[in-house]
Amino acid sequence: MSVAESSYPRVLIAEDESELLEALRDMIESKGYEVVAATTQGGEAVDIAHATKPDLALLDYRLPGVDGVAITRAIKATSPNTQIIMFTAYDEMSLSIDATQAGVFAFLVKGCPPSLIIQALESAWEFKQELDAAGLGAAREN
Amino acid sequence: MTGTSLHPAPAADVAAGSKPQRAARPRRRVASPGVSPSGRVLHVLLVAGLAAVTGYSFFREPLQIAIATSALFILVIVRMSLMLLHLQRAGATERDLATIVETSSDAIIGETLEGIVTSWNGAAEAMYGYAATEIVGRPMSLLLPPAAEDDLGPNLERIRQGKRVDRYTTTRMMKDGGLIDVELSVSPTRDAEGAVTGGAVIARDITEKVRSQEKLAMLQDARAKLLERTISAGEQERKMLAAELHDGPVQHLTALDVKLETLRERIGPVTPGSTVLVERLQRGLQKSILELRRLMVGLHPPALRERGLRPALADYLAGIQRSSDIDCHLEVALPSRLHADIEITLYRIFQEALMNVIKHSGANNVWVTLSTDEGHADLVVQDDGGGFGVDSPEGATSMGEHYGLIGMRERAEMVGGIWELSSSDRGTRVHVRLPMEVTS
Repeated sequence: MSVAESSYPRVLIAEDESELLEALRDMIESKGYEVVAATTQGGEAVDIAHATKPDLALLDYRLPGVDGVAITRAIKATSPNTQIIMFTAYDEMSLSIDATQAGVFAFLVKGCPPSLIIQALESAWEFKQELDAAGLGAAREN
Repeated sequence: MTGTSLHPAPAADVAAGSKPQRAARPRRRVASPGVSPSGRVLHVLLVAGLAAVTGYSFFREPLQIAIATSALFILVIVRMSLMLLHLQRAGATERDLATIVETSSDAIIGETLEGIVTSWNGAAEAMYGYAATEIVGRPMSLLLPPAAEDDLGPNLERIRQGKRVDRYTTTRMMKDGGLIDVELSVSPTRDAEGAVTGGAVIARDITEKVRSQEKLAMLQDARAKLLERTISAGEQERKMLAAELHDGPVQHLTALDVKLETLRERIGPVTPGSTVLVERLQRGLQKSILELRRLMVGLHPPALRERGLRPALADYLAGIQRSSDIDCHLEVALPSRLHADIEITLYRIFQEALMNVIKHSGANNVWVTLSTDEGHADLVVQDDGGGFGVDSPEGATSMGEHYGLIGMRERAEMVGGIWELSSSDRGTRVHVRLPMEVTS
């Protein structure tokens, strides 16, 4: 697949339910992504993102400490090219608007086919590569 | 007050500086029409004089003078007869009034301008426990409870000025020391010349009425608190259930779905139908998650707490728009966030009203407006459906139980608001108006 051919996109996963966190890690790694970190804590996700500057981040909305929208803002502030996918149980239009305004690439609601998560990661990775190639956002990341 | 002694004190002892000898003499304070005693003496002297002059003139004077004198005499006799008749009637009126006073269910008390009791009817005896013989000649202040505001002085001052004291509510003390709530009014009494001589106090025992009102207020307060606790407990329960659903089944089922996805990818089609079977399993899981998600948000919408009423209403209507044929229209004009209790109350009423629209109205459109006006928030949910009968009390009760109307009204009333419903074959309108600040 395209992801495996073009180096290994580095993914951060933040999900407070450990069983789901492991299932997501397993699925994403099976598709050729490198999971740089998987955490159940919101604050830790921000620290890891600042330290590792992942290509992609799959974030739950409701996390202990900091919510997904705040984490998105924090990541975007230091790593604007990192593409974020929000994966939440809350199917709320107002939340999706907030998340999109914070810079989320895709907003997925739990209960959607898991293949959509992979599709979203692929699209986000392609977008990230185009940004990197165009040199957009690089100055901020440095 | 001068004391609470139960024994009649000499009049001179009870009101220093007053005129006890006048006050001690019980007398009725009903002003009577008629002539004064000096007037009566004058009339008698006049009649006697005229009779003498008439008799003399018949024997001594010419015929014309005798006739004139006799006519004058007859005139005076007629005048006197009329006057006597008038006085008899006045006496009857006085007796009638006395009967009315005595049989009145209100206490009627006469007092001097110094506040000394001069008359005391049966109702006063029953109300305060003093017999007329015990209290007449003693000060009204005997009836004043120690802790009560002394309103006797101002009342007497008004009476001295010839003014009424309009009905007001106060507390008085009975002979046994017990307190009663009374409604009092005081009117000036006057003598034949119109001079104010004292006051007529009319008192009504409203102890039972006050107790009933207090009991009613207590019951209403208890009901409001119970409702508040019930609703608050209900909200807590909903929040907890939503959290349980979020942290438990929704996450576990999602994890299962993701694991199945990985499994399906890894093992490939083991048998011809195996992939289809796994996909069906996944769709079943996804449907369950969807149902649980809806339930979760319905139980406790995070948007309401985190982003406010407008986003929460918009989310809910977006869900209806997606899952039904009803066109939803939302108009919100809120200057800021409202008190949390008001927001949750408005949201729950909105939710209940929308549920009725979806289930029962057959509407094509629903309009939701939320606005503020003079410290109040107004929410209106209106549809263009078939409506339902709320005209008859029976119908309204039945509908109330069936459509959760009572619950909506109770929620509104609990935070000091009002809730109205109107329905016809052109649609149903629910209007709720709540104070923007919680007062209960």
